[in-house]
Amino acid sequence: MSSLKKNRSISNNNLSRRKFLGLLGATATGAVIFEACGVPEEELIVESPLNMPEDLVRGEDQWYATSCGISSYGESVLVRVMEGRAKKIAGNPDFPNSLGKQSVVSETNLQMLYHPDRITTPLYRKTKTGDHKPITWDTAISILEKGINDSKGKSTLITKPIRGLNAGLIESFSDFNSIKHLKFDSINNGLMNKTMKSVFDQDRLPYFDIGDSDLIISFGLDFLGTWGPVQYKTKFGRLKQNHGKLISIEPRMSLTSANADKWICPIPGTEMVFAFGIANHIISNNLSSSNQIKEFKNLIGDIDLSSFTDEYVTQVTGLTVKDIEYVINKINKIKESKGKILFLGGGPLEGYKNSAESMSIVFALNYLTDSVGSEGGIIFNPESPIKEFKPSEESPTIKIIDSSYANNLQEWKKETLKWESGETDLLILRGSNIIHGIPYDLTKALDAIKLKVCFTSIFDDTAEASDLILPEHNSLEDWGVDIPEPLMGYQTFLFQQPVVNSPTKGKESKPIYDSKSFYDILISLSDPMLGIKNYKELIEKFTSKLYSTTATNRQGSIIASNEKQFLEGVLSRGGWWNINTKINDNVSTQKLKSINVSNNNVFNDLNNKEFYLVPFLSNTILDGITAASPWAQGIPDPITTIAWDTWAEINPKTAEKLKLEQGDIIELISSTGKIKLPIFPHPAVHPKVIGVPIGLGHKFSGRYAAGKGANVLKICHTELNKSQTFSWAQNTVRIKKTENSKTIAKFEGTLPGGAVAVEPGFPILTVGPNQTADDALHEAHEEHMEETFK
Amino acid sequence: MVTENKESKFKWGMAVDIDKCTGCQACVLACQSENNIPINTEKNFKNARAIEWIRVERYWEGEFPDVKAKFIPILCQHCDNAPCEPVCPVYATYHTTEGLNVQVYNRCVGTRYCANGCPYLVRFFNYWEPEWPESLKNHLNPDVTVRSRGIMEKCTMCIQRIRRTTRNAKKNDEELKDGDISPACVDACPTDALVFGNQKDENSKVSRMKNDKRSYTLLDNNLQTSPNIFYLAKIDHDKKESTHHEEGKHH
Repeated sequence: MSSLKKNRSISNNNLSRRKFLGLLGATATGAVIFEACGVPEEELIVESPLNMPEDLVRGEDQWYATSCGISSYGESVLVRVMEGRAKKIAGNPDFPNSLGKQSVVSETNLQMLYHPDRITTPLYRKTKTGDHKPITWDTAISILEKGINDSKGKSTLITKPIRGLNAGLIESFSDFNSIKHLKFDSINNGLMNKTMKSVFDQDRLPYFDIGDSDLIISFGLDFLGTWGPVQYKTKFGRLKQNHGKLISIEPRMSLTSANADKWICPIPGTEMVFAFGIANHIISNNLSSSNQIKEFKNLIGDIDLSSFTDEYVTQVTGLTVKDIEYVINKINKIKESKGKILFLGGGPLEGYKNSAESMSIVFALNYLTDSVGSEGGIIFNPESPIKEFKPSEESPTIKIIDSSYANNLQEWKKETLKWESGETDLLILRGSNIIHGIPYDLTKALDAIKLKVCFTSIFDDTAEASDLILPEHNSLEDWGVDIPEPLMGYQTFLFQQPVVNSPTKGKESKPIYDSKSFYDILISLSDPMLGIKNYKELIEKFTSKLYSTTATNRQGSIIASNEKQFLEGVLSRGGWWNINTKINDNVSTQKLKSINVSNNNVFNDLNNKEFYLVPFLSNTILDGITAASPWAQGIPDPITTIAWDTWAEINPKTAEKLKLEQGDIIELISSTGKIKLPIFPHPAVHPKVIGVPIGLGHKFSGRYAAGKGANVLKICHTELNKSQTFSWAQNTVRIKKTENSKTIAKFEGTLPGGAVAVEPGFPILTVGPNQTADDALHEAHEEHMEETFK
Repeated sequence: MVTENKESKFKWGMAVDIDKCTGCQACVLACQSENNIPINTEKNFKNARAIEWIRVERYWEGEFPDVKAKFIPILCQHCDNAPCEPVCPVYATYHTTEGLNVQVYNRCVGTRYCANGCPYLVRFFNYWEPEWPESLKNHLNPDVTVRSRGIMEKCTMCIQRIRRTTRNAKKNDEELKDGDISPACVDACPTDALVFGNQKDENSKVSRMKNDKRSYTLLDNNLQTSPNIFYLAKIDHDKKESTHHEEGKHH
């Protein structure tokens, strides 16, 4: 990165008061050593002010390491700050989970930070029908405090799944105030984590070694799009460099399928049968050792694999023998060359009625290919070096949580029934737009709660339904300690620090956004025995603990001669990690409970007029978390190039049969409701599948999101599947044509005269493995001439 | 045709490995953030007026179920023989000694001749005054001019980064190393599909990629534009080289 200051070590750099921090004060920089994570000899020097140092040179930029704030996987970013304003977000080149790259959503946080509709002051609605009116922070905190005191044992706190010290503080606050803590995610019900437990006996997500694999067979896991840290995308670049192959199996084309050597499109919910067919092939052709087969069979129970013949698999999945042979041939080739095969599952596979079994069988295939606990396969992650700590001798213990996932739909149903029956007096929401994300109507349940408090920065649908709205800091203004999940195979902490303050107004320089740190508020309402004033202080104490735990053996990314220098090190580097904590464990399935997969659980019961509705996360809006950002809205979807809208993906042949054209408005009708949206025919979706992106359909959420698109989650059925999770990817819907149509906002077709081409008819040049571009160009030219003049 | 400038140590260029491009759009967003590109509203898209200095085009190949999506990032090709340069009546677009095709905003009078001449469709005209709500102006990059109504704009290869880094290197009496400068799109690309560097340095990554057997340039055979963006062809491991490939459908 051009404008970052690079030096061999921190001891050589110009860490003057001007250059390094307001927050940490003047520093001696003698003995801090950055130990690389296997990479850089040179280190980036990044900085950290809490308040703008008075002596900053105007026009000089500063780069600070902090957390991305949008990604839920724990990514570190560098923020360029000039004159107290954040100007750019870029990936932290030093941090293991980022490797200098950022997810496409990371930069949207700049717009969330300076959003024109960001809430500027606490708001309170006294009566259910009244408007929200500004109040002071003192009044707001006293209302919250009273609410907590009046509702002991009858209150619930909802957050996103959170890890690290952040999660520990929330648990500590909840325990002290007898508040139940639930974690919310619209479609991720923790099935991936549960699968890792049942198949690999792991308490946290392992690292999928994509870069070192030779063949990846992914059943729906969109690791190039909406799932996983940006590092996985970087490792895909390495896979391509090494000529590794990717096969993707799912009923609509995600970004991962779009980049696969082969996309295979089964009927939704039948992937499990295909996976069994693969297992049958591997075993019957002796491609696995007897020990590997034993491990696999321990897990899957007594099912007769020999019944999964090609004929049976094609009949159930709707695939062709050619598709099956393609996969089998690739597996054979890689096995012959003793290469590594990695099986992954996720995306829609987590949302079927048979999702628990499907996920288990897919990941269990890794036993057959010897990909468990080894390079190019599934690598297990170590537990945190600190599991709990006490800020002082008298204070209660704070847990350090290294894995977290959302509560499942069954738990939400139970909880919202309690709300409805008046058993909950206080609901505190933070970063969880449940009104948008829960697939059923919450109006009655929320109405029955006495006090609803919402920590947010944008006035979204859930904030609107709340009584008290507390504007919280953007992540670029706040402290935090996270543990990324999945880790990269070794212990890592991600440190978040404030890099800017709110812009100010008036002669008195009052902050425009009168927000507070969520964690600071929790501390003020926690056990006084914690003995700390704010989250910054707690993080300093935690860092001291980390220093004392790791300093003795001088291991980890930062080696310092005292705590203060250690803190400077972790903040300027974005975190702490220790590459020497890799574990080489394998696992035996003997002690694991058999999954006992049943083949009766394959779902294929459509009538002629019905379709499978397969929702999916938007590339830049995800489940709606960045919907307020005009960048997120205005970046075209990679597959359809559509922006600013929700659409129904439909196979062109199906559209033709139904006499539908692009932009025609249809009603998608399920057993629980209906939505109206335009259709977009494209060839990468199963003829019996309608794909619809999740993320829009907000009534509020600021000027850029309000009223845009439709919320597909509201027509997903809410029956529980066997694992009690939300089967969001397996709904049946009917299509009803309307008289209306609209122009879809999309990038495709907006360029005058069409598109750029290598040769007319050949927009993208493709070469064979040993072919040169010149040969391929010549071939393309000849072919074009032949086509033109035949 | 621009002849090689022997006085300058640099000739900037970019290589795009299409085999690694996943179409994720991280480059597009990074460019918009770095270069103060106006907000692409829904109306802009509908009126075919969205501005993307770098865009990712998606092409379909084949039909369901044997269909493939292919992505290619397109940006200004910084042609040595740029069709946009000689047509500008006020010399607002010209070639630098370092091989960049640049636009002088305060010279541009908005004839749009350059956009008509560009076969790569990478020049964008500001039909309206770009607008940001007051608060969003906080994140605008102070190194990059906000273009006004009536002005043509395009990729500059993040010239502000080139200038800043070369100036700092000179100030510190240091030699620029390969990789010291990278435009925002290159920085953001998660798979390292985009690589920027000095073509005059034979050992630079961009030079090596330029000389790769998969390297080609867009439309150069037909139009002789001599682009400075080099594409590395997508690899199809299943392609039989003696047979014809299927015709791709246009974007």
